Amino acid sequence: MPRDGRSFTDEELTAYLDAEADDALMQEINGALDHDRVLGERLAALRIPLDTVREALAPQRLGAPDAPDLPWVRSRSYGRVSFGGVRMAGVVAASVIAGVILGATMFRGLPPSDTPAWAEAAAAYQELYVAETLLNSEQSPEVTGNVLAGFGAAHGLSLSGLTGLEGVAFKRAQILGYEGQPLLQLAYLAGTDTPVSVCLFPVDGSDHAPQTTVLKGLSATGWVSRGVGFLVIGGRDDALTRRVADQVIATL
Amino acid sequence: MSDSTDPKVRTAGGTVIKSFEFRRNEAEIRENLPGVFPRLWRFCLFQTGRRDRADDLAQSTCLRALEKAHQYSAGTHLDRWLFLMAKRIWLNEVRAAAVRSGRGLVAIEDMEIPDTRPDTETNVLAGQVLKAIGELPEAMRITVLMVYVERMSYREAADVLEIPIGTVMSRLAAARKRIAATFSQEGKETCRETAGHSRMRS
Repeated sequence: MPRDGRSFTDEELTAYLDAEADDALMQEINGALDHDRVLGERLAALRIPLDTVREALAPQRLGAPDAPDLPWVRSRSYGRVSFGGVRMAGVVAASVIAGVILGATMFRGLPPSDTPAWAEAAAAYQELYVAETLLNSEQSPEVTGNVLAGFGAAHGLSLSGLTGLEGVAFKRAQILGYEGQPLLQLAYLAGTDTPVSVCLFPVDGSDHAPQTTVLKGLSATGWVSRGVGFLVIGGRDDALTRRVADQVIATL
Repeated sequence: MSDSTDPKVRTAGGTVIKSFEFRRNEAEIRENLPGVFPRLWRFCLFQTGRRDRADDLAQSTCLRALEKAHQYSAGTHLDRWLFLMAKRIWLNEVRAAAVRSGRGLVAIEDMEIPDTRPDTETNVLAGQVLKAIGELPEAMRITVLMVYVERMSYREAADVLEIPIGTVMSRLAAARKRIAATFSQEGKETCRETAGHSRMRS
């Protein structure tokens, strides 16, 4: 026991070991160590091999990846930026990353603020979805077939395969309206709690490949093909919307 | 960071921004990010406990940093700013989503560590270290990283982690006990730590 009855806390001893104790405490502990064997044992019980810790946890030893190429931000008003859901796995696929520009640029060549209004509307609609919106939603195959056939016929698409996408459970298809034109929404549930929708809307302009971004706080992957704009939206997992988008493309 | 003489622009939404400052800060972030990124990724690994989530969190943090470039003070510690941002993203967004989706947190010790060194004995010790740290609770683990690996002072770690300095001390004391307990006497003898004078501040 220390002769003056002073008992040091583990926090104080840790601060001593970390050279964070003030001068008074350092002197107190140093003085006590001259005669307090238990104190020495307590300090020993707190010592760890810091050099080894640092070596073991060096970023390169942990396999840290290099920094990705970063998209340029033109102004904070442009909102969120996205890598397009590309996941780094040791080495970033720079060629893929480089193709992704700014947050809302899911339609290539357009500044983010020009995200198609129909997509913004679809995102706002999707934002209201919760799992309960779809959990008990059942639609007969006949009704689904009629909805898909009607929209598909108008745009030269066969959409029946969209009810069997992997990783998401199809719930229903419905025609919404935007600016007097039909907007097809297919609703799915990913897992038990993530509503995801695939939306189709007739658009002008040339085709472009899928781009992933964030709309209304939701992950969104959009592309244009043969006069139809596609939007997969829901949740916060870019990889999910990208996977669904890939399946939609493969199905069509 | 603010300078009233900076050129300003008014966006369509009516938000006044300082575009010059924004540009300057963004440029500095871009210039320094490659050097900081491996450490940011490590921070994310410690925060999340999983490599895939570290990838995602580090990416998200980079993107958020660009979005928030106007909030960065040029010439200050980019690493600490990014760590703080990553921590907030993790706590406010990513972790909640991970828990909701039922994908529980996985201890860092389950991670596959590349064996890049021929010294087997050293590797074994390093593995022990990693296991011991990986078994710490998340909060303790990240505090160890900040102080013992990133070599931050208690005050700096408290600021980044947004916790009282006393909490830093208690976490470190508890972490030291746990880590030390996992090492054999032989391991302790190999320690190169010198009490009270071992930590060189960066």
